[in-house]
This record gives sequence, C-alpha cells and structure tokens, in this order.
Amino acid sequence: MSTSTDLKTRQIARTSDDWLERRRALIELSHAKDPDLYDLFIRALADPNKGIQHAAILALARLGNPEAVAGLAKPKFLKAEDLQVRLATVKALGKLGDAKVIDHLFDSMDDPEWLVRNEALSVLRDKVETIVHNGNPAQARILVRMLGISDPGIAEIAMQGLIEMEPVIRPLLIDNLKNVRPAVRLYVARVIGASRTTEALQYLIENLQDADLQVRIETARALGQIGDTRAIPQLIASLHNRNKVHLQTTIDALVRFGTTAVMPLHSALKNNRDSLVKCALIDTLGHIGDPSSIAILIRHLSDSCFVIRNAAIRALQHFGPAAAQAVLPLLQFEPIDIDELCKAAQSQSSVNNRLRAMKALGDLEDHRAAPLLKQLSNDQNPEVAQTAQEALIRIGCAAWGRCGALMVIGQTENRKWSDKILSSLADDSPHVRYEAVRAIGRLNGTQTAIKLKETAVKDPVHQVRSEALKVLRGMALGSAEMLQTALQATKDSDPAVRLEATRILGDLVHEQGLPALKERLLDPIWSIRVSAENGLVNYGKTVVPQLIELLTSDKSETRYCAISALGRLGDTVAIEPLETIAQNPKTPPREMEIARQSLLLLKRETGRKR
Amino acid sequence: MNQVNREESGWLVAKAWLAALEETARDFHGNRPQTFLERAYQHATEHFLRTLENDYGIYPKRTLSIKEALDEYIRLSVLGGLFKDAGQFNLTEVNVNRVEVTSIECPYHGMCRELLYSGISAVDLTCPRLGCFRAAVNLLADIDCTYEMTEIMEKGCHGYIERR
Repeated sequence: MSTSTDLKTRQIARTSDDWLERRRALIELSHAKDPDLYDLFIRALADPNKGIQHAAILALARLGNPEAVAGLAKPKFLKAEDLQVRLATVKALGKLGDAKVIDHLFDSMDDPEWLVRNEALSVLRDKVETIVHNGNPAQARILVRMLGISDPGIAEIAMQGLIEMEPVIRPLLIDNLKNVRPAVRLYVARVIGASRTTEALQYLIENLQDADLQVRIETARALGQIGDTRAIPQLIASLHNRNKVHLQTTIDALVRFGTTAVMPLHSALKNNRDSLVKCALIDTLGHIGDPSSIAILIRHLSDSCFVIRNAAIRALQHFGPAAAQAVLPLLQFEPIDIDELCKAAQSQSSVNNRLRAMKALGDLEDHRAAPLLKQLSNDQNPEVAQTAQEALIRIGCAAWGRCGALMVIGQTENRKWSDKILSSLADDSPHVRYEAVRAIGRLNGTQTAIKLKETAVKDPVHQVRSEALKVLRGMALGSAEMLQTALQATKDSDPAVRLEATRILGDLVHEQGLPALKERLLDPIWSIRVSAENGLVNYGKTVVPQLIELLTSDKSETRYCAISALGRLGDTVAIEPLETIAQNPKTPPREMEIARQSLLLLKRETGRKR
Repeated sequence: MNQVNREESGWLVAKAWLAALEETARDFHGNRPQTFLERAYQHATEHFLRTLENDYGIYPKRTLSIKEALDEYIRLSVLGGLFKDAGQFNLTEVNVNRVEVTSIECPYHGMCRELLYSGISAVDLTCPRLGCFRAAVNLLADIDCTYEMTEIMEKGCHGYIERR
C-alpha cells in the first residue's frame, strides 16, 4: 500500500517541471519494486530528456518485469548518444530478457565505448551459457549465430553446446558449412569433426577448397577425426597446399587413417612430381609406420632432391631396426668387372655401342665409372654427352641412396650394426665414406673404430680423413691405439686433418706426442697452433723447460704460443725468462703484451691497486 | 588480395634465390655443401662490394683484423641498404683470431630453422650471413677464416668466425 510520501513522489515523477526532481523521484520509486509503477516507468522512457530515460531504464531493470524488454530493445536506447543510456539498456536487457535479446545485443558488440562492448559480451556469455545449459535444440540457431562472434570464448561455449545437441541439429549444421561467415564455417567443421558424423562428409570435402585458410585447416582436421576413407583422396590432393599449418594438419589427418591410407599414399607418391608434396607424403607414411612403406621409402633415399632424401631418412627413423635391416642390401654389393664396359664407352667404333655401354654403367650404379663418365659428359657428340650425364645421375643418386642407408643405420644407435657398414668405408664415393664414418661414430662401435684409423690416414678425401679423426676423438680410444694414427695425421697436407690430429694428441697427453705438438706450434694455421698450445698445457708443468726453450724460436707465432702456455701453466720457474722478454726494449710489442699477461698470471696479480 | 610492394619483393626474390642455392648445393653435395657455398658467398660478397664501389661510390677501407673487417663490412652494408643499422649485430672479439657474431634479427632465419627441423644440426648449417661475413674478412683484411653456426635463437643466430 502506498504511503502519502510515496504518492507525492509519484506525483513529482509525473508532473514536476524540474527534470532533476523527476529523475530523483523515479530512482527513489525504483527501490519500492511496486508492479504498479511499471506504466509510470514505461511512460518515462518516452521522455525526451536523457537523464529521465536513464532513470527509467534503471528503474525498469530493478522492477524486473520482462515485458519491459519490448520497450527497451530499441535503437533509440541501444544506439543513444549518451553512454549511460546505452550501458543501462544493455544491462537491463541482460537482466530482463531471455535468449531472444541476443539479437538486439549484437550491434552493441561494436559500440565505440569499451564499457558497453564489455557489458554486451558479458550478457551474451550469460545467455549462451543458459542456452547450452538448457540444451534446447530449438535455440541451436542462436548458438550457430554466436559462432561468428568476435569473442572466441563465447564461440567456444556455443560450440560445446552444439556438440551436445549435434544428433538433433545435424541438418542445421550441414547448412551452415556454407555460412557466409568464415568463423561459423570453421566452428561448424569442428562440431562435425567432434561428433564424427559421416553425413556431412561431402560438404566437408567441398570446404577443403574454401577461400579461407582457417576453414580449410579445420575441415582437414575434421575429416581426419571422422575417419571416413572417402576423404583420403581429397586430403592427399590438399597436400599441394604450401601453408605449413595446413600441410601439417592434413598430414595429421591422414595419419589418423592409419594403414587404410597407405595404398593411396603410395600411389600418390609414385605419381607426384612436386618435391614438397612428395616430402609431405613421405612424412605421412613415416608417421603411419606401416612396414609395407619401407621399400618405397628406401627408393626415395636415392632421389636427386636433398629435401626428399632427407624426408625419407626422417620417415625411415620411425621404423627403427626394421628399416636398418631393410637398407643393408643397399650397402652390400659385389663389384663386378666394368673394364670392358668402360672400354666400350670410350671406343670410337660405334656410337650405339658407346651409348649402350654408358647406359649399362649407369644401370650398374657403380661409382668407379664416374671419372670416365665425367670425361665423356664433355664429348663432342651431344648424344654421348647426354647419355654420360644421365648415367652419372644414376650413379650419383645411387650413392645418395647408400648415404641415406648409412644415416638410417646410424640413427639406430645400436652397436650391432657397426660391423655391417664397415665395407662402406671403402666405397668409391667420398660422400658414402663420409657418412659411413659419421654412422660409425653414432653407433660407437669400438671394434669398428679401429678401421677408422686407416681411413683417417689413407682416405684420398680430406673431409673424410678429418671426420674420421673427429669420430675417433669422440670415441676416446686408448692412447696406444690412437697415438700412431694421430702422429701420422699431424703430417697431413690438409689443415682440418692436422687440427683434429693435434687435438687428439692434446687429449692423449702421451710422451711420444710431445715432439709432434711442439712441431705443430710452427704450423702456419692459427687454430692448429692454438690447439697445440692447449695440448701442451694438458701435459702440466713437466713441459715447462721445453717451452722455455721455445722462447728463443725464430718464429714469432711459436714464441707467442710458448709464452701464453707458460703463463697458463703457472710454474714460477718461467717468471725470470718471461721478465727478460717483457723488459727487453727490442721485444716486438705484441710479444711483450703476451709476456706481460703471462707474468700477471704467474705472479697471481690482477692489476688491481692495493 | 595482398600485394607485395617493390621493396619487399626485392627481398622475396633474393631469399628465394638464396634458398634455391642452398637447396641445390645440398642436392649435389649432400651434407657437405660448405665448400661450394663458401665459394658462392665469396662471389656474392665480391659482387656486392664491387657494385657499391663502381655504381654508388661507396668505397671500402682496408682493414687489419677480423673485427675491423666485420665492422667495415657492416658499415658498407648499412650504406648499401642491406642492413638497417649496425645494431642488428653483436660482435665480440674473443681474441684477434676469433670473433663471435650474434645476429639479432636475421632475414634468413626461417630458412635455417627449417633445415634444423629437418634434422640437420646447427654446426652443419651454412648461414649465408656468416658466410658473407667470412668472405668480407677475406676481401677486406686478407685473412682466411672458417666460420661455424653454434646456435639458432628465436629470431637470430649465433656463430663465430675464426682465422684458419
């Protein structure tokens, strides 16, 4: 029952000429929550004054009568110039309205004021959560609409709701795979993927060609989740896509099909010429890991493209010892006599005979024929030159195959394979010998490492020799075994080989290595001299007298190394000769500087004033 | 439809050629493309310095150490529009014979990263930038060096140039 004060307030709210009084009255009345006041508040909405409109909106929200939604959901409030009016309207609609108010709030998501946008988002989130909670398929259309919203949080909630309703609303979802908004198509693809329904398959396959990249990615993922084999050819076709994320998603989708996808993948790999597509197909086969792929992958170890060879090596890694066993025959072959063929290839009698001989040499994939074929590739007869080049390509690619095989075996990191790849250390291709050395290093087969010592000093290619020494050093064989090899290698013509040999001698700290290290201090290559200096320091104070002797060497670089080594060894015996150098005015400036640095170390001085 | 502007297109083409060169080197030389690529970077640096001198009047100074040569090459490259500024690099002279180079933001980073993902180790990378730095030291200071990548970071990389 209204009191006299209340009636007076109502009177003011209706008739006062002062808008501020009317506003105060409306706000005061709103606290009463009297249903009879509804008409009064609705009438106040029509007041041209923004302050009154705002008060009326607040009052209606407090009153809680849902009928007010019709009066509030109007552009004049939702798009009012006054921020407070817009904000209060969004709040009121959120409080009074049901799911239908979502339609009215869409525009408020783009409001220029973040307060309004934020409020609209929060109201929309509440409404979407309510719809999802109720699980009413009749409201699924609203959820689909929410998928296109810019807020990913709300879209995710809507998507979860749709996943739960999926069996009932499937036609709606399929329709929306063609929605004009890419975000809707994307989320619908996710919903269908999660529900694993095959009904939408045809439409999903069409979306693999969608103009929007994200839609294509989600579609590929969904097709992988559904797992219907009819999608395999289309997924394989979409491997032509250059986008990394799309490519990876498509590979993952195909991997989900498992062995079912293997045959079409083999066929695609056979017929495709694009190297990136081939790499993707090889990666997929590797991840599926079906043993029937091993032979095909091995063939790609001999491809002329590095990326394909590398992809095949990576893929074969997934098969473990089975792949290592399968690649072994590539490394085991009995060389036959090719002299007759070489003679025929060079003879001037018949061009046809020469061509046949060269083709045969190419078919044999024997690297021994490479020097001759290189020579013939410059032949005046273009046909001969062309055939020689083709044969060389075959021989070269076969060598890549052997390299790949060695890498596959090396990746097993199992010593038992090391004996089986020993013959590759004598391969005619330096690339193969190089990879054999690396593979032996990975397998860490100490017995086979003895063979490496021979390679380290006898191989005609310096990279192979230095790699062999590097591997031997990593294996840390006993000093007696390593010493002679390292001593021999310090005389090598190639600096990289001498460097590795010097490092080995430095590690061994063997009496017999000392003269060789001292000799390396005279090497023209800086890094070798430094390694020799480091090696000598490893011997400790026993080498101090010999280093002092080197201070009178006629080679300045040797003297520098000796001075530096004496400083690092820390034997005070060296102080006197070093002081002589440091105090001699004829000493070159650089030598004097190194001597002073060494003296500081020897006297344990830091240069700081006491 | 996106349109690549002319400045970016220059980089795009350069990167495409460089990637192609690296890939071809590995096609023909497997895991040992260094010798071939060192020579390619040497020629590239020669051409670059010669063009700066002949066509733009930007003359290189002769230098005496690895660090000085690198500083000079960076100065020339900034003038030549190859680098934005000298701050793109951090050079640390460990001693007169060894300089450690950190490239803070490298345009070829993606290329190296891809090779790294494909199973090649950092030390087997042939970094075109360090390769050209090595060549510049050879050309400007007449010091024959080797170089090696040691680390690929989020945007740049780290390596060293050392007197042979």
